[in-house]
Amino acid sequence: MRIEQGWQPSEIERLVDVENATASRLIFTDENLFRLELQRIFARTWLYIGHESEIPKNGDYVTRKMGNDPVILVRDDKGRVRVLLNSCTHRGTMVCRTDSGHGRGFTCPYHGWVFSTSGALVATAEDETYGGKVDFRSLDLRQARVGSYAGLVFATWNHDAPTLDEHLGDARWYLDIMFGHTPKGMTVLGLPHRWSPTNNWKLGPMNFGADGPHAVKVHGPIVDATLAGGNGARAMIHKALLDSPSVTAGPYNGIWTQGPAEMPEWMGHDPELVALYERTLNPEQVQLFKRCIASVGTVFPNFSWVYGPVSFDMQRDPLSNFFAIRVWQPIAANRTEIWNWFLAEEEAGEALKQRAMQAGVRTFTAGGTFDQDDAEAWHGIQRGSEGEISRTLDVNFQVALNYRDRPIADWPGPGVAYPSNYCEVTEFNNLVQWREYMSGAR
Amino acid sequence: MTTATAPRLVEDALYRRLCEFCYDEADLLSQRQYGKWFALLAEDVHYRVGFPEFYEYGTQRKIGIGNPYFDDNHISLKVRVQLLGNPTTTTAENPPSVYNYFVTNIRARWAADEADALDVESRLLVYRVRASEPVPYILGARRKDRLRVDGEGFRIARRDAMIDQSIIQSPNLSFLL
Repeated sequence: MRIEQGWQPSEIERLVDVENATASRLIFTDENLFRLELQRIFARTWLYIGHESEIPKNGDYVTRKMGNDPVILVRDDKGRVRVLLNSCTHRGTMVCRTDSGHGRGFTCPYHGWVFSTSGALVATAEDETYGGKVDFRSLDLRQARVGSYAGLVFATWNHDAPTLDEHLGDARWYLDIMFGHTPKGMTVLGLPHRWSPTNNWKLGPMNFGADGPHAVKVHGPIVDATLAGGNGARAMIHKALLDSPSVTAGPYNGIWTQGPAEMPEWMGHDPELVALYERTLNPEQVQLFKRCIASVGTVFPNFSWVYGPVSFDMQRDPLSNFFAIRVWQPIAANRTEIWNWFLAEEEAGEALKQRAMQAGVRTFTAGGTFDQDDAEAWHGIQRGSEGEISRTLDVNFQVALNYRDRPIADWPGPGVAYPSNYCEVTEFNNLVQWREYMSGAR
Repeated sequence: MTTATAPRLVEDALYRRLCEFCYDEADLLSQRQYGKWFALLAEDVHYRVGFPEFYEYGTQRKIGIGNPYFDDNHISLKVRVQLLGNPTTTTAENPPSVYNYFVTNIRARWAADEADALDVESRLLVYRVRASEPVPYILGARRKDRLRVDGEGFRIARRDAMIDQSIIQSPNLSFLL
């Protein structure tokens, strides 16, 4: 193992110092660790693939990635959602080379092998030339295990992994609030935005898992400008971040930033939809949602979300909420592709969907007024951590030492909550889980 | 409905003024003079920047209502230029990037549905070098604008840009097209 991969399990365990709340910067820069991540995390655990609303009709498909493997998310001709390895079983050609589409199957562009929407081999270049000596059923497209929760489709190559429901566990309670708060659930508003920051894939999930302390430094100016309150707005957000819960529940880590008590409930929400939320969620979930001004979370390893109300001028631009799903695709140790979708409630009218879309694209995407600055900091971490000296240093999450032993006693939801978005406990938990997968403990 | 007629070409003198306007605008964006750029916008401006999708011929389908990279009005653009124009308020543009904007293939017709307004098409090439990334980033775009004649100048009432990358090869789009 040492010779083949360069890393022993015991060495990997030492990379994340759970007791001390620090981690070696090598986890962001080492190419051998990156290759091990593809094997031990991305080829083994449940990964987010797409939303059911992206493939509403039989024959609809979109192309995605699981680690560095291209896959097709398709609704087959019987309506079953499948995830197929996008690689012809003949010579390996990708059988689908588009972003999305609709069809009766996939034809390999090289020799014309034809596969059905369920991945079955329908025809080779010339079936008779095999003279009956090959069992064509062994040449169906490779399929991943598929699971779905609240419209979110996940898949894994690991047939020994727990079911998706078991894997998500307590995270489902929080996924319900974000993606299952109306009877019909969410629908995507368009194709994913994709862009390429020059940093390790883990920096995004950690930031969304979530990094409370960066918010005022990096996003203070846009908070001041959009809430039109001068330093008052920044001070309000600062206090809210300090006093709001951070939650860890199964593979989920994130924050639920609560507005001050004098703030109206359900800011930016349509009253008719609010009535649906209150019927669909339980009272404890409603309580957490109704005064939430930012929910940012990660489900290990690379699925994140961000939600919040947005106004670019409190006097002239009514608040509107946006919901974004994000996947951090690993490309290389120092390169990531961000895939970002915006969603709204299926029940929302066209005008409301437009406003949700605008609130999202103005804030959280490549050109978003919040997002554009984060990637700059992450680029700096990468460049500041790959030198002979800098790579021997640690990254530090030691605010956790002050918070990890005092969770909120009467937290109404599942999992464990800590009393501040600044706690760094949940952000660091992403690396604790990374350590478990990478060292073979799970 | 009246019978459709070919849109009217604009006169040479007006076309000359339009070209100067486009070059001046490109220079303002190159030099990050966002306040002056903002002054070129009409109050009811609608600014959108979309992106292409790769699909197999004959299989394209619409997903959702569509979500461009930018969908802005006068209010949100005011905030954008306020932040982009002041490097102390944005990490992405502090230190400021070096930009060169090239605008070409300018075509103009009189608008059929609005008086004293032009439908203008142009192609744009943005060349950007950042402090953190010495390799230049190049982004091409097709722009379709509605410009209103305003004295000797013009006001941008609508911009529908389409960039030519489906995966942005940059950590951000902290600039305007």
